Amino acid sequence: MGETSVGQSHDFVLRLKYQGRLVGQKSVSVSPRFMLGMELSASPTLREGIETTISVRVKNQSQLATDAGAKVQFLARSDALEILEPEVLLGVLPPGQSRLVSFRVIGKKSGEWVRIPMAFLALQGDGRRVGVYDVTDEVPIVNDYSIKILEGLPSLKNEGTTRIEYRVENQNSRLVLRSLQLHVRVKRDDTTVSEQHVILGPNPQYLTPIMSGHAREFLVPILVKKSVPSSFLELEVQEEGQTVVIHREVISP
Amino acid sequence: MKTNALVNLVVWVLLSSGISACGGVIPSPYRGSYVDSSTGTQLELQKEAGILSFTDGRALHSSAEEMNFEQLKTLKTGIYVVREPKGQANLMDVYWISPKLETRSEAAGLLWLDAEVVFTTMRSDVEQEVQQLALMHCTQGRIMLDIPKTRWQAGCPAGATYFNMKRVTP
Repeated sequence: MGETSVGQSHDFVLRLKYQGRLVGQKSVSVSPRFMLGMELSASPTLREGIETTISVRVKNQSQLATDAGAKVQFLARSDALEILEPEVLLGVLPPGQSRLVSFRVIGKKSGEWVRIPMAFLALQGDGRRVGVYDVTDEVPIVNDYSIKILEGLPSLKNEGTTRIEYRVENQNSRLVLRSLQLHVRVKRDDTTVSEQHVILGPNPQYLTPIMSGHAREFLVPILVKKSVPSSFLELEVQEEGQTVVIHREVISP
Repeated sequence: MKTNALVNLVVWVLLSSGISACGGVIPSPYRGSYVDSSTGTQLELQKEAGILSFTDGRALHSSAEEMNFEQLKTLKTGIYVVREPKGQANLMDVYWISPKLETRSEAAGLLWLDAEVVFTTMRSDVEQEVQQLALMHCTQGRIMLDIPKTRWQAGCPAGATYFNMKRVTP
């Protein structure tokens, strides 16, 4: 039976004849399933700009062990998350046993919930597909802090000085005082800082502590020496030196 | 003229009574002596002043006043109290700032300088003596003033000191 039969039920009748005479009959019902079953180990949560994991529990529901090259792939049709390692080695998984496979991901959206269609594929070392798990989940984004740009972003495409207004909110952090630092970068890509943008003033900025449930607004002035075709503004908030949110905004040319 | 003088007198009396009703800049339940047992740092809060004494013998001694952006702009060392910041009822942000004037810089309406920073929050609706007060402190902090929009930030780098001040009973 092929992969298309998975999840369907098929009935067969076996008849045994001897010298043209029916001597026995048995009905067989077959419900094919993948060699490996998968399910999310817990409801996933994302943090904007921060690495977290999404894990699936993989169970070998066959009579054979997987081979040493068996692996699980993670695909997500969403720009709300970046998968850092889309393929994780599963290795030998004996019959009846299960194993947790975790994928490192980074949330790319701000907001409370995002809808993410996800697919996990289990493959033997030779590439043969032995497990598929499709799921669409409403995933919460649960950073301790959020940061939003309120004003000034469109002006960053023009030469000159722009005052970028932002708002930092403490959404979940503890009810105790903690120092806050804001690091500001304009980048051409993930690794290259733009030489055409100069952060005016202190960088990082040291912010007044924010109590849980409260927010503060301030600004960062940026000098654009020369307009560039594509870049993005990255704001990273740290609490006592620990990154709590990284927010990116594309500067449209 | 007489009427004006009378109005002025009434306004003065009302303001004076208002001030005495408020009972000074530092709310009375917070006044008194505190010590952080892990470091030995001491805090003395008075009606309109404070002293923070460190174990190395250094002390910050400042007067306390209601936050006024124009006054903050003069970059004077002091304790600045902001009542109901951003409309947060019964809350008070308390900044204790000692700016290093030689580090003053300005660009695009933003003025900034290094400073020794102490920050805490108080509540204006407590009636009984406060027994504990948490303070954040750093000597390498910074204050930033947004001149056009009359707002500010004062904070610390990572590695700030946190004091858990407990009231000392005489």
